[in-house]
Amino acid sequence: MTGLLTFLLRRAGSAVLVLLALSAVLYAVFYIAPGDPAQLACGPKCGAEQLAQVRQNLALGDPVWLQYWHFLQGIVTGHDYSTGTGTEHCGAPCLGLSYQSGEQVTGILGEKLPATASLAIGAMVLWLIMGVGSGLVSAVRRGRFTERALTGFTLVGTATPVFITGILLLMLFCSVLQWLPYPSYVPFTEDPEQWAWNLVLPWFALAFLESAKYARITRSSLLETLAEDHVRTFRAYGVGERAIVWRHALRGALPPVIALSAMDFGTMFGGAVLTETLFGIPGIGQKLVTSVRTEDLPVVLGVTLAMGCFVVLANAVADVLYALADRRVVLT
Amino acid sequence: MSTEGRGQVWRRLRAQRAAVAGGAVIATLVLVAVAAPLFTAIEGQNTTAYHPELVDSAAGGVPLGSFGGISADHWLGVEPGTGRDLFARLIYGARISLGVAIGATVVQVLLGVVIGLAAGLGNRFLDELLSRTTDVMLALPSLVFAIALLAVVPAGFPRPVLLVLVIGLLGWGGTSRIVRAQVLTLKSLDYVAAARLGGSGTWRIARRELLPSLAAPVITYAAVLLPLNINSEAGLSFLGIGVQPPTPSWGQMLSSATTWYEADPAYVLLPAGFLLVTVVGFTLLGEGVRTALDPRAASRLRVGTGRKREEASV
Repeated sequence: MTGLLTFLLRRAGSAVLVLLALSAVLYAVFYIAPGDPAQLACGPKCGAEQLAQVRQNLALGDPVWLQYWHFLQGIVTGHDYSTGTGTEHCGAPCLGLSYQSGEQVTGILGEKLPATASLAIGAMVLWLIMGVGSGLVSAVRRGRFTERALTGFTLVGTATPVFITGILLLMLFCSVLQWLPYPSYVPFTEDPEQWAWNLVLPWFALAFLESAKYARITRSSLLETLAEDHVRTFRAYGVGERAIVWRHALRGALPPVIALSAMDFGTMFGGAVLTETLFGIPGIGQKLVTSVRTEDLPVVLGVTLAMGCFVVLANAVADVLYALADRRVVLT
Repeated sequence: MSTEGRGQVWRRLRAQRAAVAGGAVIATLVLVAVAAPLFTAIEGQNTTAYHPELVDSAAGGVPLGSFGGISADHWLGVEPGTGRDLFARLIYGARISLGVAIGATVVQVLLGVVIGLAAGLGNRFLDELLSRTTDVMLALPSLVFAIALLAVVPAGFPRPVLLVLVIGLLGWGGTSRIVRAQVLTLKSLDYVAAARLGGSGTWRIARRELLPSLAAPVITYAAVLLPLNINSEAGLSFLGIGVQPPTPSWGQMLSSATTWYEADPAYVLLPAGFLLVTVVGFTLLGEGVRTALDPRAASRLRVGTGRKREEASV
């Protein structure tokens, strides 16, 4: 048990270190970027008066490391920004403030999170069903045809950019067949049925991209387990093929699938940029792109950092889940 | 790699039908991209000229004629709205797509090899530092960080070069991990120990003894990176953060096609088709290269070395 505890602590420690490194690099990039940092932070349409405020807020006179330290401090304890009329408190975890809209990055994230989560959860359910299902079928019915079909599916699935799958789905279902209206995001709390209908296409677009990977992993670990000695013993005892696959072999395939799902789920939070942009889903990824277009750099910095956070966290969770699910893993 | 070894790899590559097909597709595309000015000269069009007379302004700018306005003058039709020639824009788009992807792959491989070598040959501290950095690079959502990096660079910087650098800087993790692992294995082999005893320094060992053995895994991995980089460039341009208009790129065309898919499906299908064919072509070729360079996989191909066949005939 102590082994597990040290493993967890070590994993958490390295995740924190990675996040620190990440924030330092991001901060450095924005600092080194050519041009006046205050102007960069404030945006192209910033007046002289506002610029002076930004300068004061960023404390540009301080050495770089001190500025970075204040940024980190803001994440832990919050930060006060002076605005034209007074001070605005940005509570912990303060990831910055948009000078263009006056919004706090944390607020923006909270507002955009439901849409991104809707996309990620549905897509994950679909890709697990599609991926594990087709991997299972192709492992049980081994043969040239299923093998070729799976190889082809994996090849096309992983090679096709999600925006191409997405546009083709839109063309087919909204334009040619007219089975679905052009998707426009409806929050779950407003109308669950409309929420689902409007997200079906993005879910499938993402699932098509991801499920190929899961099919391959499920298939290879199933084949591996089915060839093991204990499975041969079960067969010799007369255990049915169905029971062997469902009760024994599939269990061996679970750890990698669980770990990979955790990782991909985190990446969805940090990287469904293309899908959100194509389908007009008002999530974190779309916000990142619009902030880049409007040159709202504090938001870009804060959102990118948050996305990095999700991914690093998901990686740590994936490692822990894998270690818990597969007792063969030696904890170090 | 010796000349004989090269010949053998080449034979193994040619024995795979899918790889040959992928290679042929890529070769054609590269040829078309390089000779793009020649092709547009034959067609008599360019990428920028507007042809308002070719689109139906009453219908919102849909190209006149069938299949997106395909005609003898415009081989693949015209762009809706502006009437710009699609064939010219597509083959100039191939230049961007292939150029950025190949350039980014070169940057990734160079960085990966150097960092992997340094990690594998350096002291414990350096190894730990570089290996952890590699882990971070591999864990990051590279698209997001590419977006963030592109946001801070001023608009005046040449965009394709910038894309090469950004995609290259964010994507060396895989190569460096593979190179480090290889170096650690190779380091313990007798011939490297012999070189060291013979008085070779670390740098000389890296260059003369290790690099040649690294060629096969690095080439294999580079072949995997290429299609990924094509998708990265297309994705960034699709988001409007990559190549800027009026320079044509497939990702950008697909992005503007999202408003036209109902009225002018050809405008979606053409860039999508070009992009897919390129990516699948590279993937097939990469898979073939992997099999050809992998001594275990190659035995399945039943391609003997030239020498064996000669011996058999004698």
